[in-house]
Order: sequence, then structure tokens, then C-alpha cells
Amino acid sequence: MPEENKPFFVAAQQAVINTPSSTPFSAEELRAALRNPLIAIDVLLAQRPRWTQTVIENKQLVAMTLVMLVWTLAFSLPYGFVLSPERTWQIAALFFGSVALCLPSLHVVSAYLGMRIHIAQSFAFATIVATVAAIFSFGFAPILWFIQITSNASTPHNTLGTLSGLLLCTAALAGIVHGMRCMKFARDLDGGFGLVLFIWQLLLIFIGARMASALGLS
Amino acid sequence: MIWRMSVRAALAAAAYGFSIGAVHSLSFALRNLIKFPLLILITASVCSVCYYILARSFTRALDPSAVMRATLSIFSDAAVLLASLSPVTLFLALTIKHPDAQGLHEYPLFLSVNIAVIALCGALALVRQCQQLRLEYGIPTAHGSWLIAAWLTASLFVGAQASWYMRPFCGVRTIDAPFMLGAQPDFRGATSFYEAVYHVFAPPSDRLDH
Repeated sequence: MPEENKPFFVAAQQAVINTPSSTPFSAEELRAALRNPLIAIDVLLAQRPRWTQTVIENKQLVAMTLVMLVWTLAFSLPYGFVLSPERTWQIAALFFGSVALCLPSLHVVSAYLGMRIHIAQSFAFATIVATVAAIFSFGFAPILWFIQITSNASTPHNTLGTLSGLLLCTAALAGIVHGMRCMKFARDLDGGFGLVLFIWQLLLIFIGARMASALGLS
Repeated sequence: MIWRMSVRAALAAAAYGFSIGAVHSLSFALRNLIKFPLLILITASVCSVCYYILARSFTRALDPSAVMRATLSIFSDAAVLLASLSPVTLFLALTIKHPDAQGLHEYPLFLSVNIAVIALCGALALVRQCQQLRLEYGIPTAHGSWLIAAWLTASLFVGAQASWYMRPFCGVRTIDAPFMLGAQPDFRGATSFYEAVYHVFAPPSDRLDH
């Protein structure tokens, strides 16, 4: 197929895939990610070295923030909708809310310890946990839906609720592991930031569990 | 290629389904011609988004069509391996001492042989697919193994519930059953696979006693 006849997203996805792994994302790539969920998954989930490099060099700050915000919200809605249409917003609130509550502590503590981390970098390293958790919850939504339609909801013990909790925990764990895997490529960042981020993630897990309880998800 | 693989998987699954259904009756065997391919189709469809996200999390080498090919070929390989054993299963289904009022006789042996056969064929298909990922896409064995383990977990999570909903696939000849029992409670009151597992560890009568 001639290059000019290729659909935009195929060409953009190939561009994202073919670029060397240490190059930060360009504005064009991030714009493509904003429009296409497959490219967004590629940028946010599959290309850890490039994502980390973009954050470390603090490039394309607005576009990257926008990509993360938009896709965290969009990917978390289907799972909430499967739970029930009234709860559509709750998974976004769970992931975003927990990160938003804990974000100031990450930035202030790292600044207090003398680390030169920009607020946008703190935001990115904190929010990637929620974004990846949202992507995984998107993958689990059809599974939860299937179990929901093939089980009897009126059972004495809440099996579906337990399974949903298990899936959400798996999604959150995937987000946390991804956050730490990204840190492996952040050699140029202040050395202690990885440790601060690790301890901060323990706080995030605790607040996430409390948030799930407050939203009636646990 | 994907269509060819799907048709091959469906035909192979139907053959194996027929052979295990024969332990009950011809009608069960004929039902399994539809139910077994349907089981694979439902499991693969429900897990497809999850498969892609898991693949992206482990490697950049697999695009959506490659993920579909790889996951479908696991199902297809396992189904073909099972189909190759369907003459053996059919022979056993027709020749075991069938359950009657006196007891189950050789029926548990039939079930055990089938569980062993499914585990063996599944494991073989997984190992081969792991090698394929390394050869075709250059994915390191460790990453490939993790990815396949993650795919397997997702498939088992959905496949277990799908097979519960579509039960029975075989059974005791003296007891008849509808095409699918769906969410009807079993003898312990479980309405899903996961409730049934829960009841194994905490039987309902024990919980009432306490």
C-alpha cells in the first residue's frame, strides 16, 4: 500500500513503534495518542523507556498531561459502567482521586529531601500508576461483564463483588509495577526519587483501599 | 490465516466435544459439536481486549493482529491435540462400565483421563507457542513465558465460568439435563463457578452450623 494511502493512525502507530527507544515522544506522536486508543496504549504502556525519557527531559508537558488525563478517564469508564450505569464515574474517581490525594506528598517530600523534581515530573510518575490501572480495568471490563451476565446476582454472598475487587486489585497492582518499571529507565533523575516513589506507592495503596471502601467498591 | 485457524480450532474442538459427550448419550455428543467450539469462541472473545493489554505490557513486538494470531493458535493447537486423542476418548466413553444404581463404577476414571489429557494438551500448546513467540517476534523466553502465563490466567478465569454456564458437557447416563444449565444452582446452591469453588472450601452446611 502506498505511504500516502495508509490510514493516519496506522502510519502514526508505525512511527511510534519504529522510533529508537531512548527518544522522547514528539508533539505529533502525542497528538496521535490523544486521538487513537491503540496508540495511547502503545505510548503509555508499551514504550516505557521513551515515556520515561519524555518525562525526564520534561518535554511536551501539556500534551503528555492531556494524554494521561484523557485516557485515564476514558479507559476507566467502561468498567464502572459494567458495575452499574450509576457507578460509571466511580473507577475514575478511585484511580484519579487516590493519586490526587497523594500527589502533594510525593512532590513536597521529594523537594524537602533536596531532589530537583519538577511538579510535572511528580505528576507524571504519580499519574502513570492510575493510567495503567485504568488501561487494565478497560481490559477487565468485558470479563466482569461476562461473569455478571452468567451468574445469579441474588446469591447470599457477594461473589461478583469479590471478583470485581480482585480484578481492580490486579489492575492497581499492574499500575504500581509499571510505575516502578518506568523508574528503571530514569537514571538521569535524582537517585533517591525511586525510593521516595516506592514508599509513596505504599501510601497510595493504603489510600486506594480506603477510597474503594468509601465508594462502596470493596 | 485467522479464519483458517478459527475453523480448524472449531472443528477440532467439536470432534473432542463429541467424544466426551458420548459417555452420556448421542444427544449429549451432538450438543457438544456446538458447545465446545462456542466455549472457545466465547473465552477468546471476552478475553481479547485483556490479551492485547497484557501483550502490550510485556512486549512491543505484538500488534493487535499478532496478538489475535498468537492467542488463537494456542486454542487451535490445544484443540487439534485434543482432537487427535478423541478416538481414544470415544473408545473409553463407549466401553467404560457406566454408572448405575449401584455406583459410579469407571466414570471417575473417564473424568480423570480427560482432565489429564486436557492439561497435557494445554501445556504442550503453551510451550510450543512460547517457542513461536521467540522465533517469530524475537520475544525473550522469560518475557514470552510471563505473557503466556498471563494469557492463560485470563483464559482460565473466563473459561471456567463459561464452561460452568454451558454445563453439562458429559455426565451420568441415568440423569438427563437441558442443553445448558446456565446459572441454575448446583447441589450445593452455587450459581457460578466461583461460588462453587468457594463452597468447596466453606460448604454451605458447615456455615449454617456455625
